[in-house]
Amino acid sequence: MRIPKRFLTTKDDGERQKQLEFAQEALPHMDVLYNFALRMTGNPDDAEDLLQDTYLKAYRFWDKFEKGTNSRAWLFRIMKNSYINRYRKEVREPDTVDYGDIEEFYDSIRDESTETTDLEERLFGNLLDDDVAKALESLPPDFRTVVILCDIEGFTYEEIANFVDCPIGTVRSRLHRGRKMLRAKLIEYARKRGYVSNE
Amino acid sequence: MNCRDADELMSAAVDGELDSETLRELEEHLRQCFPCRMEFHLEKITKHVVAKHLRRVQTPESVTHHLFALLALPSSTQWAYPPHTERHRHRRISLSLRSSSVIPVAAGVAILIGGIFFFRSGILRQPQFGDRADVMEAAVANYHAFRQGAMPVQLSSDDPEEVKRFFQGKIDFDVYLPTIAGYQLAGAGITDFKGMKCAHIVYRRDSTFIYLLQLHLEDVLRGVPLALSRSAKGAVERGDWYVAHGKDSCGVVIWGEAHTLCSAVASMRGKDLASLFSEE
Repeated sequence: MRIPKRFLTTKDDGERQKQLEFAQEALPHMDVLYNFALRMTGNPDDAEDLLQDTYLKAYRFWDKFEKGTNSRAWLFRIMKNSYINRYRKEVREPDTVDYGDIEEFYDSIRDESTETTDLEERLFGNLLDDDVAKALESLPPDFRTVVILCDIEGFTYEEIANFVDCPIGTVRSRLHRGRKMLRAKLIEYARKRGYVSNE
Repeated sequence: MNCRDADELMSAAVDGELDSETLRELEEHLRQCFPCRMEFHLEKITKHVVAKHLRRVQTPESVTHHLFALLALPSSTQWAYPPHTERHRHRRISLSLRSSSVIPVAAGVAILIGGIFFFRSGILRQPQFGDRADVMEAAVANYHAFRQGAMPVQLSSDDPEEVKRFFQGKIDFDVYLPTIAGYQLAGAGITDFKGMKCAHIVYRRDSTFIYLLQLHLEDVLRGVPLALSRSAKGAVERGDWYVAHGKDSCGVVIWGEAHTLCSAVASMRGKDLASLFSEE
């Protein structure tokens, strides 16, 4: 994305300076934030609203941003809070994972030698993008957040820990639990689409 | 290492976040333990499935555009919230545009966010024109696109010198920046239409805008890729003003100014528009 050279709406030098700084520091992170918003909300309209909320708040509180610190993490925390405020009602406990499916699956492959790619194809080869998006949306926000940041955005644990403001160990365990829940959903969807694990 | 330890390390192993010593211990355990090995494979697969199916997208242009418009708003309530039309902006902008009652606010906002966008959605790049486009149609379409906020300016300035500097070295003709009574320069931009440089200049008075499309006169008279209609060409060659009425009740004036072809569009009668330029 191009950074605007000019961002001026005002003759006021202070305000102009603020706009310039904001444009240089905050705007380059738009894609990351948009993608996160899109995966958190699950639809482009809500993602846009969330992105707007975030940037408007960030602009309003720009003087609270400590220069030289990680502006992406700062913006990200604003977005996370906006998300929580907006969707507070929907925050819920994790679905109970039905491990029965997985046990059954183990039994079906126990004696076979398995290659990861082969296994993936057999298990999830018929999943559509929408299935995966829906499965991700079914995760509680804390878990969804780390999965998005790690698996879609490709951030390191350290970055994620900074973003979500928790220890690295927590990132690690949330990811593991998140992926387990996700996997259970994916298996459920794949099953509905009729995967055949015993072939 | 037991299964419980292994389970805790599973995600970090998949994400390459383990130090080599711990990784070696984990691998040792996985070799001996089928359930953990399977767990590891499944974790890896899950990660891969997410990455494969949910690719990163680029923020849609309509979203960034809208956001910039919002951010450029002063905190006062002087500017209303811009309409949500941009959300559907990826539709082709039709040439028979809507009534001129549309959104002076969007145009104001477009002016405000000057410099942020580089005419990315400039109508001159719209496929509907094919290889050859009519100058008047292009100018009218640009004018409307601009008014709807779909075509913001690259430079916001009311200073003719600054605007001149902006164009310097970027186009091979002199931009014509007349003084228009009651109007102020508002902004400028450059696009390229199939190799032909197009200079865009906007004047404003409150929420009324005059849009100028300026091109290299000789190139236009040659007729590729932007051409004049026969009657417009005749007038320009004679050194006359070509005054017309564009679709959607806007006036169009086309004339030559040294080596520059000017075509002006505004929501007023063509005659009145022409008089603004001839008054100078």
